Amino acid sequence: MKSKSEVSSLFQQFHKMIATQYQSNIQVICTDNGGEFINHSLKHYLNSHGIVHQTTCPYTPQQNGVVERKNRHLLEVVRAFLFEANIPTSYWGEAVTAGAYIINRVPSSSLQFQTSFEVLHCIVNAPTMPNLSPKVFGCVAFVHLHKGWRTKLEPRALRCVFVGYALHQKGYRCYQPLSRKLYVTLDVVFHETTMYYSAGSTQWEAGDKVQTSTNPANNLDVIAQGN
Amino acid sequence: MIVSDFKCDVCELAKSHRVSFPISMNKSPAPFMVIHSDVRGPANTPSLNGSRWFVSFIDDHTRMT
Repeated sequence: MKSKSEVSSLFQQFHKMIATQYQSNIQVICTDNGGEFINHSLKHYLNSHGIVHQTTCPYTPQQNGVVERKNRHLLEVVRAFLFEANIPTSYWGEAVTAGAYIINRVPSSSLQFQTSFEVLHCIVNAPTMPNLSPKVFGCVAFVHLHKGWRTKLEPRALRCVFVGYALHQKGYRCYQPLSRKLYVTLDVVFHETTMYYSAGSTQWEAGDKVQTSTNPANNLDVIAQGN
Repeated sequence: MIVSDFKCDVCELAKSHRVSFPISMNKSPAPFMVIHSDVRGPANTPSLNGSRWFVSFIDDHTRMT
């Protein structure tokens, strides 16, 4: 999100997605007392759909245990991804979505060592979500360049960073920092033992930060490759 | 005198502390009945598409994020 005020519209999108995809209605939403949750537009939406909004007592995040624990798990995974890959911090957004993808497919003790994914698909008949085999975050990915993007004597692949899994496409997300393009593709070869950023490559980080801060809105150009 | 009957204003003012936290065993019986949500941010560094916050929606039954 670019600002906190997007929460209300994101929740409305999420609610409609759940209703359509899983034919189930959200009955209760548990949050803290942040201003992004306690506002007129979200309150109006929740009231009109009969959803109960449970909030914690002030300064009692303990009552929000499920989400605080999940945040801890998620941020631990994100930090591990970022340090292992020596990747600039500006990749945290990609690391969060890649981390959530992995966590949903990892067994959990609170679910008797089933994965969230298994439990969900045992109960609801939902259209199958794309299930790609996991790859090492931040590793070197050679994205195949399709005909028309190359000439006869040009390289047939592009060296990119692997940054995650596409949400609604069956493909891997690979980012090319030099051209600042994001490729979503299955035609990709991973070198999982080699990271794109090597340890101590601080000049990368400095350069990347300057570029992102000058033009943060338009520096992501998504290229969705079809087969 | 029974100790639990002892009430003293000064003790309440001087020794007030937080109540120990009960363990909740409530779990919703079906997916997507109860949703937990939180917002994280602002991050010091904007992400690649310029975002500084993220919101997580967690289902109580499957813990799907």
